[in-house]
Amino acid sequence: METTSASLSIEGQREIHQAGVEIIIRLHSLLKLARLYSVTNVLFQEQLVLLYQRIKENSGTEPAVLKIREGTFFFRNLRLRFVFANYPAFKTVLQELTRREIGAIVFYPELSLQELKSFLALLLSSENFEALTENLISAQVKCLQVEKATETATSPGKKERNRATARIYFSSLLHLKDAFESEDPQQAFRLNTTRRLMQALFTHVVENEAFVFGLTNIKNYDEYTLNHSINVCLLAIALGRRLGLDRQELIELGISAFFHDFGKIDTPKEILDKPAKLEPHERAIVEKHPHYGAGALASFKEIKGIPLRAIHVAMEHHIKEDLSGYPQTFKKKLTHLFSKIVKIVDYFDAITTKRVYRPRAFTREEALSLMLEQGSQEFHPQLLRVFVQMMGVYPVGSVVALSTGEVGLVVETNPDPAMALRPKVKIIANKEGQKIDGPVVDLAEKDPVTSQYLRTIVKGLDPQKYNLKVADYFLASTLP
Amino acid sequence: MSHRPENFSRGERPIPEEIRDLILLLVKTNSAYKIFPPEHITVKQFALDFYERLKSFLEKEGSLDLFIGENYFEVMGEKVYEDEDVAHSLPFFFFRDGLQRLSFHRGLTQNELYQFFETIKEVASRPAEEADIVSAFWEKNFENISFYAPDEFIIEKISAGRPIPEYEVNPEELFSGKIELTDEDRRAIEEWQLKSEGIESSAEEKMPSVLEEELELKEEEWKIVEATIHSYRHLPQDEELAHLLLEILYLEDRLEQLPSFKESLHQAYKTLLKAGKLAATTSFLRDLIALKKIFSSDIPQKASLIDAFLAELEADNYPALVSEIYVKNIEAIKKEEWLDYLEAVGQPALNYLAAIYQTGHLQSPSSLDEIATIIFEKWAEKNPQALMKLASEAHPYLSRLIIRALVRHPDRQIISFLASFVSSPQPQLRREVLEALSLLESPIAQKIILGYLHDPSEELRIAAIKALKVSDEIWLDHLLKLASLNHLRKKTEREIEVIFEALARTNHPKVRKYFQQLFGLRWFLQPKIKKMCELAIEALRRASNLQAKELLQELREKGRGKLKKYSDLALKEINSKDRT
Repeated sequence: METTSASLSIEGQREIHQAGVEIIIRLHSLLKLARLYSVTNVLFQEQLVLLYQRIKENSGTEPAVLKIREGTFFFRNLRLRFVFANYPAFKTVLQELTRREIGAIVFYPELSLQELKSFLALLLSSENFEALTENLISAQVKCLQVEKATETATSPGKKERNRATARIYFSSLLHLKDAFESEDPQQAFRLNTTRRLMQALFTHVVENEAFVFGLTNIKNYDEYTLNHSINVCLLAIALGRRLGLDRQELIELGISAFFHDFGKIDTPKEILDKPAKLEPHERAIVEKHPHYGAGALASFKEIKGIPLRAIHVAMEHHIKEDLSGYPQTFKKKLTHLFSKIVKIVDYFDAITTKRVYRPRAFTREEALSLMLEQGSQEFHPQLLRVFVQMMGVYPVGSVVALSTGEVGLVVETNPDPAMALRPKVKIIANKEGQKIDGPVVDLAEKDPVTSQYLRTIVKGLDPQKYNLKVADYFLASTLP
Repeated sequence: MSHRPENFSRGERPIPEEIRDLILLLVKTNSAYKIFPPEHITVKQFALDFYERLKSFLEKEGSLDLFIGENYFEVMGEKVYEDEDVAHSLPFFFFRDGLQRLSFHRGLTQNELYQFFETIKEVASRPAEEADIVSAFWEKNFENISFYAPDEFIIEKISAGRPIPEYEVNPEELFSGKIELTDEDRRAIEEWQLKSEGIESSAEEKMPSVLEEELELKEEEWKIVEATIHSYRHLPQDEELAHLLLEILYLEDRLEQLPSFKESLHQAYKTLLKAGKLAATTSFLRDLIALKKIFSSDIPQKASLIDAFLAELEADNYPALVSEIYVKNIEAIKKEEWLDYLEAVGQPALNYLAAIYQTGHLQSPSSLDEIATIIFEKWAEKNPQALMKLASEAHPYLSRLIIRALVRHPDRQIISFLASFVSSPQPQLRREVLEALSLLESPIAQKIILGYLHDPSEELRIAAIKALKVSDEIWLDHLLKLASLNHLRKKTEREIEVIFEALARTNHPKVRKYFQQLFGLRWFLQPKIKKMCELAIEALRRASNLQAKELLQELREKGRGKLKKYSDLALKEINSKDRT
């Protein structure tokens, strides 16, 4: 029987939380080291001892259990929350355990250092849960037990999950379209539904982040504002999550991002879609959409639930970090955190979208480079760096030339910043240039004999040059 | 996300009866929560009982998964509870918002469970269109209670029967054909392949040029981000909204949108006030006034809107509201903040102050006096009539403050204003008026002061005598009349003394004659007369003008007994003072 968090004081809970987080971080370090070195390596040993000590401190008379439930870690029944600094550790360990269908690790009080070492070695060498449990039995590891994740018995497969994510994406489009086209404010916002939708989007961001990023490659030129707003919403939630915003805040951020361009309903379509450079007076009209949007949202104040932050974001998302940009407000105040977040993701999505007046969009990696070059005048520098780190050197949706001569599409970034150049890519053309529905390969994989990486990114390619519709590859993965 | 377990096995599973009882207890506990307040004994008992039994179950089994049908609960494929009464059915309550599974996990705390029931109660109390139990559970984010609600529910709500838009993909097109790399791209691959032969893997980690920037944040940079998040979390929403409204007003160029703004401004203003946030309210007002100045030349319609808003601050419930805020926050809000606010709000400040004084709830009115005095004096100069309107018999304390302020900046109407309070039944108010009149350099004021010579209050009569500038013979005749023996007999020594002092100061022949007559009386026959003479001598001594000296000399020469002696002493004193 496990000690529950119920019987502990706030201080006690804090200690448990700290211990749990540290265990995750140590596990992460050990997994990384184990890939590079043998388990006898000094660094590995040091980290192992530290992990062991932490576990022992927390399993005095009863086992200490690290468990996963619905994509979240619990340690001694306390939910572990990550901050953006340790997000890579959380993500990596979660991936490693989930991949092997591990739902919980039970550390018994009698656990020895040797057993712990054996467990780590076996964890990496076992492909699945059954193999791991067999190996643990063979290695006579008795004071550490793994439990199978109960969810995986009926968890949706990758295809099903992607299809579900795509469905919610397109539903969001429909919902936003209704809001933009409705004449009745109550109908326009349907805040209960919007809130629920944001919760669903959040869940998909947590559970299927890479695919969500893939979907943000969808660029519908006819419905640009709607499509763009959904992409901005998703990217904002993902970035907010990395920053450690809590659920309530993320929902508000999502709603704010969802409606950030609401003011464009009052901008004439012929100006929005003009296939040439705007005249000054046309530019002036476009530059009104922030405060038009803010005014519209503020005037719906009687509809409960519109987050105040949504008004901020509508107003401020084109104001730069140095307070230039538009609109030029009466009092020059620092923009809201949410506005800063939306500004970053809005800019990114906008410049990676081909528009009637922009024949060539930036590739995703070009966009990130450009944004970093803009410096702190345009964006909040630290938030931008977190965003770039989140997107990766080669963001999901980047088309890359590989050292093997193949062409790949980045489908998942590597959560470890040190391995930023080693994402997972889907092979979309072989070395002869033939388009194929190739496998997803991990560029972190090495040849077991030579210890060399099997594939490396040589350079990013411009999908527009090769008439490649990136979004199609992601959507194809949802087809039965 | 868990759905229905398809591959469970019985045998060692709990007996459904135990679960049935548990679910029934869950429903009963929920009913108790619905009917009674949470601290009610019935609720506490049910909740505790349920918690104990559930905890015991969870210790054995790890979790309890409840699957939700339209009007039933199911566990391990068996119906364990059913209720077809849609209006009261707990299963239906969950079902209508798309909840399909509810799970309780080992580690569940009592507090979590109580919050669970309170959440249900809270959502059930909302109108149907605002209520969503799934949303509420999601926001609560219970540690040991999980749930599942499929996306399909919300998708169906959004689509309302319409097809969800799709992006059409043609896999055949996608995976057939060729990608002909450009020469440049092909060359890059070839060059890399040549370089990589014999080169260690570490060289491969060269970052694209711009992304050589250090992306990982240093500790001090994390702190910057944390500080940014922290500061935004502590932004007060009411102040944010007020600020945003001003910005929207500033930027709005569609004049037809303006009318709705006034109400929004009032809402924001009231919200700040009710929260006791005077500094923020003041800032809001000052910004509005600044905006008005900006608009007045270019966009007069906006300036008018602001004018209308500011004018309305005097009306409606604002005075009562401000009064309430003052009394509620008397310890919390600094005087400087109040002053600032009342200065910013303009003329309505007068009504606000009046309301506060009139509230009757002020423990110590004087706590506000300092502020009120500053504001009243300012308006005494700017618009004395506005101030005068507030004074009334019914509120003497307030009226006195107003009088004091007005007299420092006298207006041509001030005398008639003061005159209206001369016959006030409140002596303190009459006193205030007298003091005010005494400060005014005006014959009419002096005339009004004359009326005080017959005031029922001796205090006021004395004050009036002192205030009279007896320069005019008419005033002198009044005073001499007051000094007639018949009148003096009815007065106290103190009053007589003051009358004589006033007379003695005048140096007028009539006064000489008066005192001569007085000293000529057979004072030795009437003690009162003797006293009067003594008082007269004292008054003359104090006056020590030429006439006074002469009178004293006469008395010394012609007088007898004590009067002679006193007059002698008085003269010696006067002479001695003259020498020094």
